[in-house]
Formats: sequence, C-alpha cells, structure tokens
Amino acid sequence: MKLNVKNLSYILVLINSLILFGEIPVSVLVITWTTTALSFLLGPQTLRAVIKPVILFGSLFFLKYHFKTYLVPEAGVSFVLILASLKLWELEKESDHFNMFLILALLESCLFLLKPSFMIFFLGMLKIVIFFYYILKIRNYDLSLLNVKRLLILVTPSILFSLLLFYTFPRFTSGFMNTTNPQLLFSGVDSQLNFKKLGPLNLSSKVVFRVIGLNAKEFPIPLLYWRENILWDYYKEEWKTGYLNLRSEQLPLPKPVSSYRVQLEKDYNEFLPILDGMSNITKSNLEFNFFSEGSFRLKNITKSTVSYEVNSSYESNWKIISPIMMRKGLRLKSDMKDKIEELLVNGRTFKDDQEKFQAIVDFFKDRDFEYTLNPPTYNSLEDFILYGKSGYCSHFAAAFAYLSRVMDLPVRIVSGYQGGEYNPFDSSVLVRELDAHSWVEVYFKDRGWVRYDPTATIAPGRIQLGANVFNEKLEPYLNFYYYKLPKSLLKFRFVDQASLWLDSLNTSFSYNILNFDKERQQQLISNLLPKNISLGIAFAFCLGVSLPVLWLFFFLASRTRVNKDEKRYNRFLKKMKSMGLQKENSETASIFSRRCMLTLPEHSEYIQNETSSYINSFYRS
Amino acid sequence: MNNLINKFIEDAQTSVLGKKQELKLALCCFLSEGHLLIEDVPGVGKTTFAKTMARLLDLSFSRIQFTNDLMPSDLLGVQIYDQKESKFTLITGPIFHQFILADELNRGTPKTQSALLEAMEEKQVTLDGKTLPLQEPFFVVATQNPRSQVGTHHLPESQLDRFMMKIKIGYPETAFEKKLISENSHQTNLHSLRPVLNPASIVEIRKQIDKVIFSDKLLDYVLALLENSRSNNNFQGLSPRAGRDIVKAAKTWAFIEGREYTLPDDVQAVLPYVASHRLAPFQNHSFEDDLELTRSLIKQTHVD
Amino acid sequence: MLTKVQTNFEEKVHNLGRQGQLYIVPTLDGLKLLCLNLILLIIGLVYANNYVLLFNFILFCLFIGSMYYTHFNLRNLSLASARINPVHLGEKTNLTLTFKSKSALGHHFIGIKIKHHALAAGDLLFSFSLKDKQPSCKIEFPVEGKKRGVANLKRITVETYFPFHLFRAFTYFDLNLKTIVYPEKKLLDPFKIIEIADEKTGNEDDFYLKNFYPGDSLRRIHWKKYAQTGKLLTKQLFANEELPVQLGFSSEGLLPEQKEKELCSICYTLYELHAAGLHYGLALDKTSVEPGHSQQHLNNCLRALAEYET
Repeated sequence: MKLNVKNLSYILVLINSLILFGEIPVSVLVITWTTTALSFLLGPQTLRAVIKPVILFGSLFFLKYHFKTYLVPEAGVSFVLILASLKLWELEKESDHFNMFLILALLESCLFLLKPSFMIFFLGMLKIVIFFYYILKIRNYDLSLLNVKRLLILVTPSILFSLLLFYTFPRFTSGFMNTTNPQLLFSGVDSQLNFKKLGPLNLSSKVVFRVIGLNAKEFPIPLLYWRENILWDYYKEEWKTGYLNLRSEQLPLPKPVSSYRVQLEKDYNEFLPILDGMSNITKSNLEFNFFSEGSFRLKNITKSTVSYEVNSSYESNWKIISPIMMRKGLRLKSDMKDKIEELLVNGRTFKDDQEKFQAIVDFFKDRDFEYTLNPPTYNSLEDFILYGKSGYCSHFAAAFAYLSRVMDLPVRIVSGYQGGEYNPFDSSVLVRELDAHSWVEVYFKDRGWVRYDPTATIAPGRIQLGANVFNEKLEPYLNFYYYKLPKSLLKFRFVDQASLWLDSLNTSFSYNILNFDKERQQQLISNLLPKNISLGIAFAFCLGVSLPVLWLFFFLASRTRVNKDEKRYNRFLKKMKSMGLQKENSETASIFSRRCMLTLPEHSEYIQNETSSYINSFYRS
Repeated sequence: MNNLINKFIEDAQTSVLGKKQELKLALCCFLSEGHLLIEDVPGVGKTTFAKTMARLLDLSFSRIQFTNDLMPSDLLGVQIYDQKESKFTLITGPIFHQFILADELNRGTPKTQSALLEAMEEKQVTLDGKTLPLQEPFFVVATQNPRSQVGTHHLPESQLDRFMMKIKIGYPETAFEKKLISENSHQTNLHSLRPVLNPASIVEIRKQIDKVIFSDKLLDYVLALLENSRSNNNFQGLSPRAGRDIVKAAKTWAFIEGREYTLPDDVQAVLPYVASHRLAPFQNHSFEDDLELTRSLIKQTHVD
Repeated sequence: MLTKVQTNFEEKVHNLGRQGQLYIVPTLDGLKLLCLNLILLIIGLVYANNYVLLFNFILFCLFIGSMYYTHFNLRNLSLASARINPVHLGEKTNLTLTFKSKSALGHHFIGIKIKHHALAAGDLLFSFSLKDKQPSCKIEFPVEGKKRGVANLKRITVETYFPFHLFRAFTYFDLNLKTIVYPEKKLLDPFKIIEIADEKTGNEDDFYLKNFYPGDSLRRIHWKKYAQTGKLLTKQLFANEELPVQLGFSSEGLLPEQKEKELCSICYTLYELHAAGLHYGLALDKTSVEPGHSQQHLNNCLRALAEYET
C-alpha cells in the first residue's frame, strides 16, 4: 500500500479508535468504522452530501441519548472521532488535507483527556508530526530543504517557549467541569473479601502506584507493607469495610519519619495507599477524608491520577481504639464458632493476649497450609479453616482474623500491597497489581494494633522475594496448550531496564506536566518571582517577552558571519558617520579616506591605519 | 621598472606638452596588449602623440592615412609578378610594422577598416592564402574624427569592441598652447627623444603586470559593473571581452601607479576609457556624453 | 536624447531594487490553526487537562515560530539587478533578475508575481542559500507580451509561504524597467500591398528573380512564372538593388483591429527585409526611420512600430 495522506489518515483514525476502545461506547466505534469503510464505496458527491448530514446529526442524537449531556469528555471524543472518519470521505484538495490535520490534532488532544499518560502524549505528538510532514510533501515542498539544522532553529525555541507559557499560564484547580461520571462508580477489589468468590489469582503487572521518596534512599525494598483499606465487618460470609470513623486532626508521629510522594494510577481510585504505620497525608491534589483506622479515602471516586505527599512512621503502630472499635474488632457471627473454638482452645487456658495469639499462630503452623495461586473454591471460611489446604494471602488473613475473634482478640484485616520494585532511574518504588496483599492487625493493650502477616508464616518466600519472583518460582512454566515454556526464557534484562526507564520518564512527566496544578504553580511562581505578582501578569510578561526573544533568536541565526577585518572597517565607517562623513555608494576606500583626511586632519593617522588594513586584507591577497 | 615608466611619461611630455593622463592611458593600453582609439578634431596633435610614443617605445613606426579610396591591399601588401624571376614576390604593406598609426580610420571604407581590425585581432595577416604573422609587440593607434563630421564611415559596435580604449586628446592647456604656437621646440624635441623602453624590457614589464594581484572582491565589483551595464535596454551591455579588458587595464594601471595590487580606484580610473565606446547607446553621441554615461554606471554600482 | 537616457538611468539608479515594506499575513490555514488553538485552550481549561494545554502551547509556539521563519525567509533579500529584452506580442522572453542575500538561513521557495497590463507572467519558485557559496541568484522569469507598446514594469511582488504555508510574507521591489512589446510578427495577408516608394524605372530586362514578400510592388511580380510554378516571384532590377525600401503606413480610416493586423504585417516585413539584407526605412504618421540596415536599425524600426499610436 502506498503511503499517502489518505492512507495515513485511515491509519491514524483506526489507531486512535483502537486506543479509545473501552473508553467510549462500542456503538461509537461501530459508527466510526462504518463511515471509514463507506469512504471506500461512496464515489458520487451527491450521495455523500445526503448521507453525511444524516450520520452527523444521527450521531449527535445518539450521543445525547447515551451520555445525557455533551459535556462529558467521552461524548466530545466520540463526536470528534466520527467527524474524523467523515472527513476521510473527502481528501482530495490541499485544503482538505489541512482540515484533516486540524481534526486529527483535535482528536489527539481528546485522547489526552481520556487517557492522560506519557506514552499517549508522546505517540500523539509523533502521529501529528508525521501527518504534517506528509501534508508538506503533498504541497510539493522539497523536504530536503527542511533540514535538521533549520528545523532545530524552529523547533527548539518554540518548545522552550511553549513550556514557559505552559508553566505560567494561569489555571484553575479542577477545571470548570467535573469529569467524574457518577454512573461509573466502582468499588475496588480490596473493599470486600468473599470466600465464595476467591478463585485462582491472576494479577497483572500493571503499576498501581509509584512512590518517590522526598528524602533520599529510605525504602528497605522488599519488606514494605502498603496499607490501603481496613476490613472490619464479617457479615454473611463476607469481610467488608463497613462504617469508618472520621478523624478530625492529624497525629503527631513518632520518629523516624519518612516522607514520600505517591502517584496513584488505578482505574478507579478510592482508598489511598500509604506506608504501613502511623501516617499523615500532608498534601493532595484531590480532597479526601481520613479515618481513625489509619485509612484515607477520596471524597469522590475518580478515574484521574491522584498525587499526594505522606509523612509516615513505618515502625510505629496505630494505637487509637474506642469502645465501638473494640466491639467491631470482636464481632463475629458464625454458626461454627463453637466448634472451631473447641478445636483451637483444646481445653487450655491462657494467661494473657500474647498466649492466645501464640496459640493461634501454632494452630496455623500445625495446619500445614500451602501457598498457591490456584486454590480450590471453598464454600465458606470455616470450611477453609477446618479442611482447607491451599490458599493465598486473602485466605490466610481472613482465617487468622476469624480465629482471633474466636479467641476474643480484637483483630482487623488490612488490605493493601506488599513489596514493590525499586526503580534506580528515579529512585522510586513501583507497586504493581500483583503485589496486592492482605494481612491482619491484632490489638494488644500495651502495644496497640500490631501487624501480623499469616502468609509470612506459611510462605516466607512471598514476603522476602517479592510477589513477582515468588510467583515465578511457584509456576515457572507458561502453559501453552500441551507445551510448557519456561518463563525465564521470556525475561530479558535489557527489556526490564528499558521498561523501568520508561516508567521513570512517565513518572517525571506526569509529575511535572500532568499534575502541575494551581498550588504547585503558585509555589513555583512565588519562588521565582518577587511577591505579590499575579499569575496573569506573569503569563502576559512571558508571552510579551517570548515574542521579541524568539525574533532575536531568528535574527541571530540568520546573521552571516562577518569577516574580522570587515567588522573593523565597518566600525571605522560608523565612527566617520558619527563625525558627519558618510561613504558614498560608489566611493572607494582610498578616495573616502582622502576625503576624511581633508575634513578631519587631526585623525589622519587613524584613518590611514584603518584604510590600509582594510585594503591589505581584501585587495592585497 | 617603474623608473622606466616615469621616465617615459616625463620624456613624452617634452614633446606632447602636458597630457599626462592621456599618455598614461595610452601606455596602459599598450602594456595591456590592447589597441588604442583616439577621437578628436584635426590638429590637436594626435599624430605627434603617436609618434612620440613610437619613438620612446623603440618600435618600427608606420602611418596609414585612411581615405575613401584606400584599398585593403594598400594596407596589407600585394603579390607582384616578377617577370625576371618569373614568380610572385610579396610586397608587404605598412601593416608589417610594430607601431601603426591609422589616421582618420573612419574615412576609410568598411572593407579596409575591417582588414585592419582583423589584423589587430588575429595579430596575423592572410595574403592570397598565405598566413603571415605580425611582429610582436604590435600596437595600433587609430584616430577618428568626431561622428558629426561629414564623409565618415562609422565603425560598427562589433568593431569598436576590438579597441581596448578610446581616449580624447583635447585642446592643450593655455600655458602649453602658448608655448606650442609660439615656438617649434617640441618638434625638435621629438627628434631628440631617445627610446626609453625596448622590446626586452617591455616583455619584462608585461610579465610583472601579470603578477599584479587582482583580488576576488575586486572581480566581484567588475562583475557587478558588467551586470549593471546590461540591465538597461537603452544601450548595449558590456561584453565579456570588455570585462577582460577592464581587468587587464586596471592591473596595468595599478602597475603604472607603482602598486603590486589592484584597487577599485584603478578600475574606476580606466573604466570610462575602456567602456565608453562599447556602451554605444546611439550613434550620434559625443565622446563626453559616453564618458558621462560610464560615470553614471560607476555611480550606480556599489563598491566596498 | 542623451538627457532622456541619462535621467532614465539615474531614475533606475535611485529606484532599482528599492524594497517596499515587508508584510506578513496569516493564510487561511494559519487562521484555521489559530482557531484550533483557541478551541484547545478552552478544552484544556474546562477539563483542567495539562496535556491538552501543553499540546496547545506547542502548536501555538510553532505557529509563532513559523511566522518568524517565514519573515526571515524573505528578510535580507535584495534585488541587485533586473533586465528584460523586448518581446513580440504573444511571444515569451525572460525577465532576468539577480537577487542578493545576506541571510545565513538562505531563502527558500521564494515566489515572484507580476501584475502588468502589457506583460503576462506565470509563477516561479526559487531557492538559494549562502551555504552553497551562492551570495546571489540569477533567475530567468518567463514573461509573455500581452499588449503592444512600451511597458514600464514598475514593481514586482516577491512572496514566500515557507516553511509551513501558515503565513504569507511578501514585499515589493521597485524595478522601473522599460521594455517594448513589439507587434506580433505574423504574415496575415500575403497579397496585402504595403505602399512602397519604389518608382524608379530601369532597364526592364536587367533583372533576376527572388521570392516575393509583402511590400514588393505588384507590378514587379513575375506573373508568368507565377502561372507556371504557382510561386510568387518578384523581378528584382539590378539597377534598383541598392535602393532602399521605404515602408509607409497610416492608420487613417482603419478600425483598431485592422490597424493591429497591419502592424503585424509590417513587422513581419521588417524581419524579411532584414533577413534579405536590404536597406529599408519606415514612415509612420508622425515618426519615420531613415533607411539603413543593422540590428540597431531593425530595433529602431520595431520600436517605432511598438510606440505607434499607443
């Protein structure tokens, strides 16, 4: 297939519609693809003229029906996509090509709305550049004339100034439009734990959040626990978050305190993961509530990226307890409670909570559980405790919590993440979906809520090696029909490094570009500029300065190098001019010098020197 | 070498009385291996001028007076059948000299004119199928009556192009004129003149002139002059041959001025004399007008 | 005559290559892009999306950058010389322009436009840069004669859209270039008699034959030979050979179209006479050219024809 503007447009529209797959209704995609396909068939102008408005208005009605409002970005993106596919029908003239370019540019920026990530942005710019290149080619421009040096002259200052404008452009905290779609509310996997639904575990390695230390090098990598959500209620075979107690003020943290920034990139964000231990969130781009249990939840569930800064004291335990919490921590409604208690106590008596706790741990050890990613489905929690053999963290945490409550120890399940991958390129920790984990916290009167990880007892490797490596050890082969392929074959150090590098790039990009909000802008401006200067003035100033500076840049680039001797002579001419003597067009250097010496005899030596040096360098060699 | 040139000018002035500029130009033309055209009314000393030069240059001199009935054979020579020897013998014409004064060239018929001009260009003569080379150095000084005079055949533009320079002698200054009409000393001076240059020294001088520096910037200036002359429809533009002549003459001028490099001043000095007869806007122009036109060409062209 | 030439020359000195103000305006594409910028700004603000804002600013700055680029593509370009040869109506000649540059960036896709009632010109694009040791650039711009007479080409427009077609930068160069558009060189009516002052009689038998061309007296046509061969041949008397041919023409009582046709024929005849090596003169209503024979003479005759009643 020959690559021309038309085919390129097809490719770009199709790529973009594939990227948008899942973001916009499938019906919009169907309309898009149909119109694209129609462009092959529709020859006659009149037929086009009839069908075009039908599709255009039809899709407008459809979008109104589907989204209820045009103002959600999805509706706009859908419309632009349909528009782009309609434009494919008429790509004959040069002006059409340029219009297509404008529509595609609009479509790209719509993509940024729905999928704000570095890669999408980068690819979007690339696509637009390629398309523009082809337009220029069609216009019979000899592209060899747009050589690298000349392009750099144009592009470098332009990019620099666009960044300057970008950083100074006054903006609003959250825009005028709430981009959250209330229909798309979604409760995360972590907020409930149902034993009947616990099946084989297959978690992707998608990055859930990144942690960037604000003080250098503070994360002992594999043994980090990231808490996100607390499961209190055991009701009808299901662990739930239940009602949480709002906390009003921040806590004083015992030292040492580590502070870090978290960038959360889940599909739907509700709870904010933080380092286990007592923590305060100091800054966040979205509003959130904080609870006595030590969890933080956004006021609105959102799809957009959340970024916040936390101070944590990793080694400390939460100590807050109230009668209500105590009650919640002990509540257990189960028919088989007595039977399990009998099995567990076995006629023994316990002096204190510590002994009770030890008894549960011993019971756990005796049961000989096995860690697996593909456990069988159990009917109930009790079923697992009594007869179960294999399970993973959720099973163990739930079982341990059940047993603790049987023994009257206040306990709660903490769901979150464990481990993470250290990225040396920007000293951050990447926590992926497969790092998801749950453990328990047991309340002791003297020590508060103490973390205990039952999984660590059963499979220490999961904690020490990290989920990624451990899972690979559990299942070293990739099943491919009847063949088994060792996973290690598919691992390349180079690829891993490259992906880590790309990720660090993505992080810094989204920190510096995407999450650059009003607050940070004000901070930046107040650091750079004298106080009491409003953003508007700063922006206007940058815009006003950038135009002459850009001009100056071009002026300097277009200036020819002047010979040293010629420069010297030009200076001499300037000086003579200031004394009222101007060299005429047809006057030679020697005649001019004679004229100068006649009127300015006192400078005759200088005049003679300058003239002879000029003549020597230009006419004598 | 420069002493010789100065001496030449000084000695010549004893005979020609004044006219230093014209003498210099004529010498410049000779040293640049060009030919000279002098336009003036009769009686201003054109012939004396030429004779003086011939004497000082130590060249064999011949004078050809162009008239209506002058035939090419009068100029070139003729083969005569010698009955005694019973074969043709060649009797060479006045053109077989080194210094030719072609007086009143425009009185001759076009045929004779072109015979001379061909000899000038080729530096050889073809007589009845035999090619005979002319003696080096070969220098033609042609005089011409002003165009307004009756009974003249004007040289066509293509022929004019073969003369490197065209000068005008003009009336002498009053002091010299007084001397000129009162006594006859300059006539005797002419006879007492001793040659200053000889063929060997001429060759040497020409070699040195070849070494005179003509910078790239100056070449650009000459090109600009040529280009500007061509950009006007009212007269013919300067030919590449004219450009070559300008460069040659400017180099020689620089040498006469005692420099081993050429300046734009040299180009400007020789340009009116090299270019004016080639611009030839209309046939009925006086020489002064042509000079004026060349000066405005200089004025128009930017020089560094 | 000299003063006329000289004033003309001086005028040229003053005006040649004088550059007008350099104008720069956005093209339709540029305006469209500006609209897109505005839309993107609104989207970026409303949805508080920084990627859209950044994309918008990059587009905007490239837009501004391309404006400067276009401007500097034309800046520092100067016209060094211009020349045009006389042209026949309907024929093409070259307008030779020499441009000079002082810009290190060079000049690319510079277009030249000419608007003139007597000269028609196509489009021409050229590029040159100092990089290739090319401080000046000589352009041959084809121009067609459209109307008879003396055409004064006062100015040319020089424009560029480089690099992105978003802006059009243009400027004027004063030329004050006079050229002559001669009448068409075409034989419209071979039998048309153009009056010739050729009344001298000689020995009727002392002649040779030559091809007929308009202007020859009908009385001199060798009708017998015409009957035999079908070719028009003229009896050229030896006694008359050196006599100049005098062409005369008066437009009295002729329609303008007829007049033009007549001039065409005269023009053709002039060329034929010139090619035949004859001496000829031209007498029009007010002007007349003395008989002669040279390229210059032919030009003078043609000039007289071109200037006739315009």
